[in-house]
Formats: sequence, C-alpha cells, structure tokens
Amino acid sequence: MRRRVALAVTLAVTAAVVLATPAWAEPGGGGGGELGGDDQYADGELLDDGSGAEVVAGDGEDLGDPTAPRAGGGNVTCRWHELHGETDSAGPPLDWSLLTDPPSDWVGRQVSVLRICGDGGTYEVAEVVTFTLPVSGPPVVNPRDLAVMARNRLPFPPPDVAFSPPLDDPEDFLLVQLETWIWATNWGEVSRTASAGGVVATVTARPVRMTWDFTPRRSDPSTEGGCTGPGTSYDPSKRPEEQSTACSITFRHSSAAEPGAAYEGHITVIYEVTWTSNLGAGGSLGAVPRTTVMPVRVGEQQALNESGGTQQ
Amino acid sequence: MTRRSLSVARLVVLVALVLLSAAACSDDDGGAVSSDSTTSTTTRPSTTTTTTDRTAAIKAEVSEAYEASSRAFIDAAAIPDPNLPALAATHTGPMYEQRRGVLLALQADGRVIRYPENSQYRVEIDEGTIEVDSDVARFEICGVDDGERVVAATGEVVAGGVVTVEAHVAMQRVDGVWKLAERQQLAEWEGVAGCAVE
Repeated sequence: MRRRVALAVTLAVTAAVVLATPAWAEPGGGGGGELGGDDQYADGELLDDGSGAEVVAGDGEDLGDPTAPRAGGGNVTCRWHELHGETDSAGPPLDWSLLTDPPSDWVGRQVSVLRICGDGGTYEVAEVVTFTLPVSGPPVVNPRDLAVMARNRLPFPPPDVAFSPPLDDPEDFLLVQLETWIWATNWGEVSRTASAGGVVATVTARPVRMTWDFTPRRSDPSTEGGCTGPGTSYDPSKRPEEQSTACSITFRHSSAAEPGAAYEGHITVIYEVTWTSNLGAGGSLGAVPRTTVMPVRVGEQQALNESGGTQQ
Repeated sequence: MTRRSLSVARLVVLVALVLLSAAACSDDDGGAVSSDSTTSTTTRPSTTTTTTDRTAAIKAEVSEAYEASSRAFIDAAAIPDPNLPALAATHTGPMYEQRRGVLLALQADGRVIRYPENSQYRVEIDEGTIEVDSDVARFEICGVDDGERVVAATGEVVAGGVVTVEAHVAMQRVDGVWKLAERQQLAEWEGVAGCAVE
C-alpha cells in the first residue's frame, strides 16, 4: 500500500537533515509561465522520433536545434519535501528520520516524497519518488546525474560574428578574391553547478573551434572552413601586414546567383562539455555545436569600383 | 485579452466545433446512403470530402484539447492545485507526471504562476504540422508566454519575462479523449520574437 509521509510529528527538526539545501542560486532566463518555464516539457516515446536538426549530446540527450536560441538557467540545488494526505499535497522539507526510523507499524509500507531540483526560478526535476520503509537514508547522489542537470541549464550561446571587411549594414558585402577575417565576439566559457546531499557537480562548456559553411545545401570546399579559437579581430588602426588571423576565408565566387543574392552563412561554435565533482568523478559530456545563420552578400571587385563598397 | 474573455471565446469555439463535427457526421451518413443508390462515380468525391471533413474535425478536436490542457495547467498553477480535476482530464503520460510535479513543487515553495491583467499569452498551433496516427497526434506550436512565478506570501517574482517558445507536441487519445502527453521545446526567444513574428 502506498502512503504519503505524514506531516504529523517532527517538522521542527527537519532543517538539519534535509539533503543539502543551500540558498537559492540565481534564477535563469526562460520565463516562468505555462510555456516559458524550463520545466514545462516532458519527452517520452511519442516524440522520440526526431524532429530535424537536433543536437544529441555525448550521453544521448537531445539538446535541440543547434541554430535555436537557448536561454539556460541558474545553478541547480536539490532537496526533498514531504507529501501528505491522500491527495498528495506538498509539505515542508523532508525529515529523513521519518523514513529511516519509522514507527514499527510503518515498516514495509511505501511512502512517496517529492524531489525538487531547480534554480531560483524554475525546476529541473520535480518528481514524486516512492520508497519502501525503512530506508537507509537519502539516496546516494550520482554526481553525473547532477552534471547532466547542470548542463541543461547551460545557455550554449551561438556565436556573435564579426567580419572584416565589416558587414554593419544589410547593404554591405564582402568581396571575392579578398581575404575576409571572421571572429566571434562572444567567445567564452560558460559554467553551471548542480548540488545535492553535499555532492556538487560543475559543468563547463568551453568553445574550442569555429567552423563556417556558406553553402550549407551543397558541398563547396571554397565556402567551407574553420579554425581553432575565436579568430582575431581586425584592427583598422594597424597596417594589414602587421596583423594576421587563423580564421579567414577568401570567397571565389559572388553570391549574386544565390537565393536573395546572398550566401546562407552557417557559423558554428563547437563547445566541449566537461564535468567535475567534489567526489573526484568527472569526464566528458560530449561536444555541442551552436550555429548562427546569417545572410552574407559577396560581390565582385567591379561592384566595389562602381559603388564604393567596403574595404578592409 | 483577459483570461475570462479567453475562456468565453474558447467556449464559443468549442460549441462551433461540436456543431461542425455533428455536421460532418451527418454528411458522412448522407454520403453513404447516396453511394448505395447511385453510381460509383458519385461516391468518390463524396468519400474524399468525408475524409477531409473527418481529418479536419480530428485536427480541430486535437487543437481544442491542447488549448484545454494549457488552460487547465494555468488554472491549477494559479492556486496551485496538483489535484485539479481538469489537469487529469487533459493530461496523460510523462506530461501529466511533469505537470503534477511542478505543481507540487510550487505548492512546497509557496509559489503560484500568475499572468498580468493584459497578458500577451497566446499559443498558435501550426495546423500544417498536425499528423494524426491512430491515437497519437503530433504537431508544432508557437507561443508567447508572460507568466510569472511569484512567492504567494510576498509577491516576489522569482521567474518571469516575456518569452516566445516553439515546441513539438504529442497528444494521445485516451478513452476517446485527446490529452497532452509530451511536449519538447524546440527553441526559445526573449520577448515576442522568432516564430511569433515570422
């Protein structure tokens, strides 16, 4: 028979035995409503059919469309709460002594408690867990599970990209046969933690490589490439021969024949995701790409002569 | 638009859909009688029309059921009440467990989800994406949500802001009733953006 943990007796002693309940970390983005809350989604077998351009992490988890924004969230903490009454109403933080040392007539019964893991605003996990009494104590926390929760709160920002010659205006265009510099202006690590029961997992996403493809619907080596690192921003106050970059492309053809007279630029940053824990365990959670899609016009030198164009 | 006017509007839509479904069934019966008494050449257009009507009626049912599930959660989260009958009546499977868990957590934390008086909340179902396979329907939605999570006792907003969300949805027909079974976020934008302005 399933029973809810009775509130009854020992609420006063709960705080000390609750699974680590540090102060709330900062809330994340993503809104708080019916659609906007990060916790308003649940996958199962029905949607397990793939829906297009999805990112699947090293552990098999779907991280969504690589070109879609991702709000992320704050650091995650986990705790347990009582459930009581026949209709499951949530109570205060759980006193584990109710479960580890129950009254003798409770032994063998099943009780359900509420597990909550969340940042300051929304929940990563909010689930009912059932135990058979007595229990030996709070379940051992798997640091890798915490790491996956922390990763789910990472924003994985797509690259903000700059070019030289610059593309400040929709009418601006790059030039064929001229080296174009590419660099990411928001290159940086992002990190989140998740903690429970004294176990803390820290996940870090580190950008390691940038790639680009300006003709994603066909293979054309002249419009594809990549580099390690964010690239170098071009400094117009310096002479060209005084600076260099590992991240550049030289277009061979104008984009005039492309749809909308522009290449469909896909600039991708690859994040390597790793985790560590205060228990010493750690490892890789795979590589996650995030892509910015943008139209890029490329013109012939003749166009430069006629319109003034742009220059490096 | 206020929540009340939304409810009234949906009620009107529901009544219209019921009448439409009844009309479709009536056409169906009429077509069958007609095919028995006339040549087969007159049957084909009738059958096609009936199939189209049925498909349209199912899509309408699914859309209405999805809206009802959203409304049920919003109503439950305003209390919050994980045992609101409308929740079980409109949800099933993982999504039901997820929703109940969130409502229980809100309850434990003394929080509610509320919407501003002039809420921008809206959801559009991309009808072109609705696929019905026996008792499962899948489709995509685009919604704008300005719900806020609020500490009931103090009014402190702990999560909020306007977001636009694109999501993949699965509804399942349980005992003849379409219910929200799964939902997977595909993309999210701050403000009214992305799929809401495309």
